[in-house]
Amino acid sequence: MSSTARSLPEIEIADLVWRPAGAVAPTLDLRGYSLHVRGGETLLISGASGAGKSTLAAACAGLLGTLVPGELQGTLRVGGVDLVAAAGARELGPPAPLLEQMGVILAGPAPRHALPRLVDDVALALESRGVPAALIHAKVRDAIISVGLQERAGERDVDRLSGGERALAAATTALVTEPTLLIADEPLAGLDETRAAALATQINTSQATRVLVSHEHEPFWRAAHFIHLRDGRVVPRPNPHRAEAPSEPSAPVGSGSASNDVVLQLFAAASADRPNVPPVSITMRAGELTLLHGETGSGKSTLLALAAGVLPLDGGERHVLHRMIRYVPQDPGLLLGARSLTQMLIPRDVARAEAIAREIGVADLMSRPASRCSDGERRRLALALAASQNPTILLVDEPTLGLDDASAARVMTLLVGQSRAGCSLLVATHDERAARAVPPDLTRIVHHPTSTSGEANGGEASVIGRGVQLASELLSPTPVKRMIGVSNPLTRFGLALFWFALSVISPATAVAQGAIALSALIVVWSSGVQFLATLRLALALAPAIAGVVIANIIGGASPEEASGAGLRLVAFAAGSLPLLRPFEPLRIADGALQHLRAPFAPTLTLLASAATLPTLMREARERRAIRRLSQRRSDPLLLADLFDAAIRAVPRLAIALEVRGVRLPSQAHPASASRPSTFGRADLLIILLSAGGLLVSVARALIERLTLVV
Amino acid sequence: MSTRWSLLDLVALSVIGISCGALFAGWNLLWGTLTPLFALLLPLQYLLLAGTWVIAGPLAGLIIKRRCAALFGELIAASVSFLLASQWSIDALFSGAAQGLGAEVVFLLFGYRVWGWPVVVAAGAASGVGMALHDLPLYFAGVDTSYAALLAAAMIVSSALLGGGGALLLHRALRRSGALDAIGA
Repeated sequence: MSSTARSLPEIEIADLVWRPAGAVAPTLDLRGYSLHVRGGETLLISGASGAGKSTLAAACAGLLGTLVPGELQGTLRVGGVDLVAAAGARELGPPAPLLEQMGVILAGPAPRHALPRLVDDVALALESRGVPAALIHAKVRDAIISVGLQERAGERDVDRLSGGERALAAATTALVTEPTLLIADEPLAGLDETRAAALATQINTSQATRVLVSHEHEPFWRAAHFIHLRDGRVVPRPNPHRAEAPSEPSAPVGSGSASNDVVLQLFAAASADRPNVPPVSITMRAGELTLLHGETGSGKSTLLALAAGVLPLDGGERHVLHRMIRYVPQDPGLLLGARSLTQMLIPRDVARAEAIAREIGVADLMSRPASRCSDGERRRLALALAASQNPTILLVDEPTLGLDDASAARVMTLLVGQSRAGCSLLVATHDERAARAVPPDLTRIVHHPTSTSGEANGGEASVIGRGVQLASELLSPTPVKRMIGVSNPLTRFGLALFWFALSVISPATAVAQGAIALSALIVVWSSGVQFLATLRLALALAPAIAGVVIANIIGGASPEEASGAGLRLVAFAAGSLPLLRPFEPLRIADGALQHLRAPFAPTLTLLASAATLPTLMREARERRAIRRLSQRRSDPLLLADLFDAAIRAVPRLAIALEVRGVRLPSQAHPASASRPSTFGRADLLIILLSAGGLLVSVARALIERLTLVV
Repeated sequence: MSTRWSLLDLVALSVIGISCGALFAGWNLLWGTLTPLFALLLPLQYLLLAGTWVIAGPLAGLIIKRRCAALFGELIAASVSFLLASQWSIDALFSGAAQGLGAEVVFLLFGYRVWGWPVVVAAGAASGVGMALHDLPLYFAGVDTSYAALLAAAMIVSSALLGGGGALLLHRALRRSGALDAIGA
């Protein structure tokens, strides 16, 4: 950290009103309220879930009215930048002077990364700001270690990290640029106590003006300013002691409800989808409320998903006595999707759902689409949905995450009530409030072991995996690979275009196309593409070729022309094989940025969006499994549902890219390249071989011409 | 209409293109499976199925309503379908460009101001023209004129109905569910 006193940005808020596009009423209305935060001070925003906390934080980040469509009025100045004027002028995003000094921790548990691998995602914020490439690697590593993640976590996909590790990852991305303005939305949510305290200290001691959203005041008690919101307005902060859990109902616990009947048992269960989580075991008994504690990343969510049967079981055993299992995942969107609670209910459950929704304070939200509810509200709606179906087993992942004290207490009261009614509950939580709210005689607390012991065997591959590894090793031995190196994707793209052009310009006759296809295939195989990939493509190709050939013949083409047209498909495919295997989107983007001067923001956008595709598909599968569990048939318009989910992911991805500063680079201040895209021996080999293939083709054509002449 | 693209527009375009690309990949598989059934009646297969391949252009244009959205939307979708191993391999990129260009030209003719259903269906049909201009010389160079005309007609009608009409239906479903509010479209 630089010792020179940087002038830290100030924040001025007065009469601020925000109305999102499409909404009738403002969702944030601070008329009659003004605040001045001086450089280096902390503003702590609290309030019930859905009160507009995240909205105010997003406003301070300059996102409202610029990137997020809507109308911003009043006064909002951050670091000397007039954000209301910026919104009025329809700026594309936060103005550059603000963006440069800002670090933003977005709220989870929704994904908040831009690039799949953690190190790339963290590096992006530095690349955008033009930090010299030589420094980036060390800065990224230091940032990852300093938040308490292990260094090797950097090599993993953010998607595959646990909920708590993802929270730390989000903090890393924000802190790595040493921002002078730090905006953090529930930065501690989902972290165990030790990690939360460490991160809070790091946030409190950073050289920055801070805008923090948190339902916990303790870690940030030294904040100079507090805003407590309710329904988008500033209200006096309630006495924190009054918001404690409501007094325990004195009714004796029915001793009959907690019996010894085992209802669900997992034994050494493991899933290939979560390779970093060691096998888990748990026993649930009838009428028992089990709280599952455990360190960040110890595999609590995995255990729940395995118990629910949502994750495929690839090892161990799962025994279930009762079929009425309901599961409320950590991301409530997986259960509710875009729909409202009412839409998800079957008539039988409506009355019960209403009673439960009233109990946990979301009764007035039952017919609002989940997409228009805040995260805390959706969490409770999903819980109401699951609980309303009278399950005998209820699995809940972090039910109080991001909820204010009063709501958290109501949620825990509901869960205790369910348990008293005979339902067996398994609740994964970090939250101390949850443990305080449950009666000890009814509750069993299980501490989940940490995953450190399991990390070692996490890398152990299955038998099939090892077989594939062995086969690919035999096909292209490591010494050869090491000698040739890896070819640049740009070279391979050029190669694909070259063979494509060659087969387009030569006549559509069988001989001409066949010669091209064969020489292209030879080039492709010798440049390291595996036989297996070729075979797979050939299988997909076969019907297409047959179709084209037959149609040509029926259409009156000569057999020679018909087979030429079919072979043309083979020639195209042969040329483009090396682009398909290995498929490295990140390296393609790096090559395009560094050699073709591709514009930074659109390239990164495309890359980040493409990276969400596997997640979207996995989520679609998971969502289907979760909904099948809650007896919902998949939607009739499945396609619309996929697009719906994809488009709903747009704002979050756009914001993730925006706060990493991808719009910052310009001609004068280009982005830095932390992963240099180089050309090597493999590229030379490809070019030489292609030239050779071209020569053969030309020679063959010449010889043909000559023999014709003769 | 603003000519500058915000990150929201860029992400929306990419995401629409990529989702369509995933759809195309599935469609490629379906097409391949059905080819042996339809081998003798290829124009019929084009009529019943081909239009779905052009849906990205009209849909991206309709949602984003900006210059070049249709062209790039279709191009991105085609790239994804190529990278998910399409039987047309790299040629998918070029047919995508031809189809996207068709839709783009129609939207351009209406100055990016008119978005009623006739325009969108016309954009789908124009994508079909692009498909015909690309596919016929490349794969059906030797066939009779009448057969080529039959194929072209099948492509254009299918693209207007499945591509243009499909984009309209999807757009309406998305507007109803409120997804489009989130991106201010």
